[in-house]
Amino acid sequence: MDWITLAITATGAVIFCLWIVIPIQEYRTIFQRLRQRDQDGSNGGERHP
Amino acid sequence: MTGFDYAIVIIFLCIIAGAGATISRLIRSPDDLFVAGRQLTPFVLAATITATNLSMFHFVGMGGTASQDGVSIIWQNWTGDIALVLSGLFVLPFMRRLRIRSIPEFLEIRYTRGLRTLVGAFWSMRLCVYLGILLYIAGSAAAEITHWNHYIAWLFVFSAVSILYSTVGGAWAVAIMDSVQFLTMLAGALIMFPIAMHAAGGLPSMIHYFKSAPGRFHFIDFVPTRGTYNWMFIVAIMLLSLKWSTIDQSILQRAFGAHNPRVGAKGMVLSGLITTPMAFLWILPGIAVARLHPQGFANPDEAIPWLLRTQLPAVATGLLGFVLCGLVAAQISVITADVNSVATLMASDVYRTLRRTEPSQRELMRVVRINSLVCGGIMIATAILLKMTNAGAVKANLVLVGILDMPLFVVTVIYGIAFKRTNWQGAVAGFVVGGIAGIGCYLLIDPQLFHTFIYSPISRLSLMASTWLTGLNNQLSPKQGQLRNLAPIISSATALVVTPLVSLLFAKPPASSLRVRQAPNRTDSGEVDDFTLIPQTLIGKLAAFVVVVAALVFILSVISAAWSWPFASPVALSAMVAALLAGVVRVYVK
Repeated sequence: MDWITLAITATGAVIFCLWIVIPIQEYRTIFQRLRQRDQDGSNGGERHP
Repeated sequence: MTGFDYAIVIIFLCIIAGAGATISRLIRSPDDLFVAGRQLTPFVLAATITATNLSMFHFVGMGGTASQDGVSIIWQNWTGDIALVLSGLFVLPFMRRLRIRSIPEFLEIRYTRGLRTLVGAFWSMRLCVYLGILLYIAGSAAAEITHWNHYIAWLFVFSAVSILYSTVGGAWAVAIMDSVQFLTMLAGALIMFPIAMHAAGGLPSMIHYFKSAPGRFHFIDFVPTRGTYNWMFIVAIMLLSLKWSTIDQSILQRAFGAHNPRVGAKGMVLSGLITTPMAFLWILPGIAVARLHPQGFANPDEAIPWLLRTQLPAVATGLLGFVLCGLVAAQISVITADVNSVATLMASDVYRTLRRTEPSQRELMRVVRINSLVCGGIMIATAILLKMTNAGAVKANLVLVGILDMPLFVVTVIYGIAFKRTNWQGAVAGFVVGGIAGIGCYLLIDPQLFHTFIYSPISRLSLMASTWLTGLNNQLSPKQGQLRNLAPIISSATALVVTPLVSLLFAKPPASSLRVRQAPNRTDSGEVDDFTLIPQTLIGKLAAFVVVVAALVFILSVISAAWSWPFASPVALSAMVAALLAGVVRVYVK
């Protein structure tokens, strides 16, 4: 494999790994907020004009 | 394709369909259905925006176009990435603060309810046709790769799965499954890319081949002076990308799901940043096909399926199934996002505005479901029509957005946000006349369309006018490949002129319509909203300045290719990278 192909593939692989690890953390936060919303019986402070 | 490959794809489709039903439990309010409860975080948002953006249109359509016309089609992606940064920093936060669900809703706040209904209905139709193009690519590619030549059956499979889960699970299903589909499509592309490069002898060897092959240097020239996808195309597509990133319902609706304006900006900028290197993963395999199959294909959309079918099975069993899952993921994520957007437009902007009383959630859900079925019917009909005419998908899409979208961008973003004096009469006139100018441009340069839609009706009214128009058509039609790039410029220029002129003929808009400019300094959850248009810190100001200057340098360097400036490509590429990196700095500092 030539170095340009290797560099592009490696960049793609790094993005792949980052977008597994970080969204898992973020989904924990999202579901925590949703649980809070359900407990409060509110809509997460959301208002719609 | 082996039984193992088929099994992988079928399991994947079942997982997707089942996920929609499970995720539907998260839906508590219309905001959950349309904007995922406005709870999305930066990386989740970046994944969903990227998955909504990327489809088989990129992997198959653009890869195929690259095999026929060279690498410069990559700017259709890259200009979008620059535009995502610009929109994320300067437009999206403003709209997110308004807590709207759709662009037509913004038009009601700024202009009038009638314009909201008109644009909502128009945009629904336009999205249904676009979905038809996506479905056409999906069906063609699936039939080509699997050799199960039941095009119509493929259309129904893709439609059924995507409509089922987006209708049941709403924006939550779209957002959560987009994260999975983003990874699946990236994995598929990461399998396809090195195999394609290896088959074509490696990138350095490909570059050497195109440099030495007579008349093929433009294949590896990023900003070519000549050819269909030349500098003029890049300028036109940059305009369209600005439009896309600031008013496209399916992209903006995902971003309206951001937890607050800064998160929305982060999501858009991160999406632009990651899509840039990813674009190589589908464009360069297209260039590899140009070397492996130099005689080309009658329809460029056949190029990438040919590459997959001939190269992957030789490497390992099951690889084709995995890559096909990536392609299916790319396609279904876009179709579901667009179906969700059509549902929002029809339920929230058309049905709701035409009723005198507020509909219940149950009624809204019924409208969403009926609308999804109608949308499915229109997209299947469009896909069948495209197959019968054998049109290239990239060209069909460019025609659609060139004609119809630019006037809406002018009316919404340029005059809607920046100019107080514009009233609803000017906005409607600019939108309609700009669209007609775009359609007229296409009809005038294409001999077949010209004869059917212009010559026949006008020759009955005036022989002199029809003779003059025929002469014009004869002069323009040989250059239609290049002139087509001018259509978005003509439609936007027309809207730019007509909107203020008509606005001046009518009274000033009432002061209440300008409340669009007033935004609270608190987020929905009560935190301080610290994402200002002009950054508070020196680093933030510097980063925002670099983004604007880099975007301008990019445009100027692309235009310089008209005079064959030898540094047009490196300067344009450097400006793009500078804009993306500075954008990331801006969203992470105050």
